Amino acid sequence: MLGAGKVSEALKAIISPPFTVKYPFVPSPPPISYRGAPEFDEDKCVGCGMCVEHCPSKALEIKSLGEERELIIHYYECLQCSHCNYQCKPIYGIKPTTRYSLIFTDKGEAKLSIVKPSVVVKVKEEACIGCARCEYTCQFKAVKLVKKEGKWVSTIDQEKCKGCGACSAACPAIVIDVPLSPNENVLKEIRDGVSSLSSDKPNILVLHCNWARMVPEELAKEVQGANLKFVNITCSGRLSPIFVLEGFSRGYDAVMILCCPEEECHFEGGVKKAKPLVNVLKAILAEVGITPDRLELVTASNVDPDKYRKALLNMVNKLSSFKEGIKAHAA
Amino acid sequence: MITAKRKPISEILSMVEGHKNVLLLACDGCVGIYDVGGLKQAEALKLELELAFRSKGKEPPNFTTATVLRQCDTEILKDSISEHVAKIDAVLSLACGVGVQTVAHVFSEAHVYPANNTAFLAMEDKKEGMLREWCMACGNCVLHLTGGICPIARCAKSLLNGPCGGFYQGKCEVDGRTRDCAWVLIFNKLKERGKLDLFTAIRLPKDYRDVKNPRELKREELVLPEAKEAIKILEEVEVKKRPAYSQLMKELSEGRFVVTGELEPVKTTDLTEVIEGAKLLRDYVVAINITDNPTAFAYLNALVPSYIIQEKAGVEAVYQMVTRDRNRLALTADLLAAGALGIKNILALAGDFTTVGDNPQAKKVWDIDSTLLIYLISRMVDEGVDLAGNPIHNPPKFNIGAAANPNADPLEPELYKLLRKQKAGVDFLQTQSMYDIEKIKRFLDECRSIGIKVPILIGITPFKSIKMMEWFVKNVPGVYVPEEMQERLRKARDRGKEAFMEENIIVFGELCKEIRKTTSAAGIHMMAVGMESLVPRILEMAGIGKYRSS
Repeated sequence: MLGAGKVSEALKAIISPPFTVKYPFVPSPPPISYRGAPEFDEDKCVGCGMCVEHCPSKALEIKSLGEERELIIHYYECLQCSHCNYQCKPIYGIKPTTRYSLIFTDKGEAKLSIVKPSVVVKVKEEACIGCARCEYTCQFKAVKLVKKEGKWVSTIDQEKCKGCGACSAACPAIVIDVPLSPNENVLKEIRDGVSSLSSDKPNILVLHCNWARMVPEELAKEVQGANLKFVNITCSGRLSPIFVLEGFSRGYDAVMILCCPEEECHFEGGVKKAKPLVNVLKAILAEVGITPDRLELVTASNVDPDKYRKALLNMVNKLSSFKEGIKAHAA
Repeated sequence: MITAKRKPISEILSMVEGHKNVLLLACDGCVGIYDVGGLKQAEALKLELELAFRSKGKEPPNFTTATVLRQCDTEILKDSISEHVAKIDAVLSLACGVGVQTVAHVFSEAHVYPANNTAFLAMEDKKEGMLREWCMACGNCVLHLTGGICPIARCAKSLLNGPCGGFYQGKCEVDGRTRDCAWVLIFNKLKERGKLDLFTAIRLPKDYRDVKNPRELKREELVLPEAKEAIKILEEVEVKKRPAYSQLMKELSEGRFVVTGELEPVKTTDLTEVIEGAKLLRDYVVAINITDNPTAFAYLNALVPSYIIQEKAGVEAVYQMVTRDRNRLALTADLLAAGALGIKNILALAGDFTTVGDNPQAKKVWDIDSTLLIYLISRMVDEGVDLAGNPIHNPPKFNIGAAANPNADPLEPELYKLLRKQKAGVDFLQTQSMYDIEKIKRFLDECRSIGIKVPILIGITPFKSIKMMEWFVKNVPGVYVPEEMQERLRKARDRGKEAFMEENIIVFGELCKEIRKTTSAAGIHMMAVGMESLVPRILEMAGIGKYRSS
């Protein structure tokens, strides 16, 4: 039986406006920091494709276009989980928007794509010695030794390659190059820095990971009393001994490698490959008459980026305490 | 593939110093693949050398880098680097020793230097990042006889009839039990395939004739069958009943419970100590072992004291021979000498590894192993010929002993090896030190069940001090000293040194008594080196008593 109270309640409801929003005709503002459909950041994305690797619902796709590659987000498959965004920290080449709507009027809107220059490593096939070190090193299974014209050569899968350069570091014959930081460019930058070397202040060559949470200009300002030359080498896993030796050879007093700890490595395991190499290089430096402590590998977590600044300052102080003085080389 | 390791920069520096134009020549072959001789290493070495020169305040020479497909190929080499030759006065080669020499051979006008030390032929385990020597290019492959595992390269002693007594938990004692014992691997593999008869077969000594260097091969003849004989194996040996030549063997074959002693000549020319020791033991033991460079320490040659104690103390010697220090020529010579001096017993051993001794730099020999030494002596005694079949005028008369290691872990390879030694003609076995009566019984049972019929003497080593006991328990793998025995000796030590020695006599007296009464052991081998005076009292305590009256 309807009571009097319930009747009045029903009458009120008839004349009062609706509580719900007339979606999709009226937009509904999402709450703050809502994790919606992701978007690429045109400037920051390098096109490595690690987001594709991490997408649990396979909503992301890589398409090779020869010299370029296309990254695509398929919104219908997207769970809006933000795994893609998380793994790209702290650069965030892909970001969640607050957009949650999955209603599209045009089929083409259901996906978003970005075209970037290809990061796929380049193999000088004629010089490849067929040792297969690259194939074993690649954790993305992007490298295979294939027989071409009677010769075994390293061959790269255009879609699987992330351009991290671990294969390049492993290659004993210098036949693999990394488009994100080509050997020639890195060496050129190291050499270019030579013209601005200071004669009284310590000169430090800083080889840093692309994803290390630091801004070179700010660090250079904060670390007074030293002349810093920053060179982006993509990932510490791509470190070549020649970069470090070239640095010392060109007159730098110290070489610092700034990268992320193992568990935060963008390409998973980069620093794991760099650490043994740094130890070998230290032994070599001792042999050639350079204090091994002038070479240092620093890992700083995303949540503690200040560690880089402290390590740089520490190196500046350390240099003045060496018995041979600040300068690695006799003038 | 061939592996190499970078030389110290200082050494390389002294080579290239004084040159103006130096070519750093990499090789894309083995060393390139292994990351020591590739183009990247050449580029890095160039920078390293420049730094090293500058840190010494010197101007570095002008370095250029280049790589070739294979430095060990004269034609490839000529074609690839002839353009550089006019501009350089020295070549620093990053290849293996063959590459360096080929460069020196092809460009006779340039100075050629090695940047690497060539190491060995290796298999690569990329996962573990390890290079392992799996072939020594001995020129006579035995892999079909050893389950695909090379005993020449992978056994530290290169034994053809292993394992030796130096493995524990399947690991080789050389280099601190970090590597697998190749012979335990071989045993497991052959057992798995049901080919244990191949394990117990005697692999006859290798023919080292064409391993003499330099070796040469003609290209067109590579696939022609080898003219030389393949390695031979003896699956079955005709067992001849060998007469008991020695007193020890006579006693053993008559089933009497015997005791043998042990004396250790040291680094001296004075034999009085050995003679005195022999005199102390003579009434109680039937024969005395004379050790041969024990634990690879260079001591007085064992043959001399073996002869002297027979002459001066009137007690038979067991002349121990290890194959570590002598090849088959020297062993044959010493055996003939021993025969001439009236030695009747030989104990054939492989010997401890050279690096544990007092001359660890020494070259290891192991031309033949202990099994093959037994086989050599058998042929001498039974057939009157040496290993190669040359007749011996008036051949020696020996009885042959061998060592058994009841502490081996796993025990099975050791047991099958003893079976093989029996096949080769061994007359008696002496075991390593044992302390636990139950373990002794178990070991003897295992030996009998597998078909080892020769008499076995159980090794007994009384403790000189509580320290020695603790060292034994801690450091000799596989040795088990029962807790009760340890406790008794420790308590006695608390009462003083005298009491400890007395307790020693009681404890080991009881053990000997037990062995005699309750086991099938043929006797006891008393290894009381430096404690000869204890032996008579232990034996009295055991109720074994004197062997002879003086």
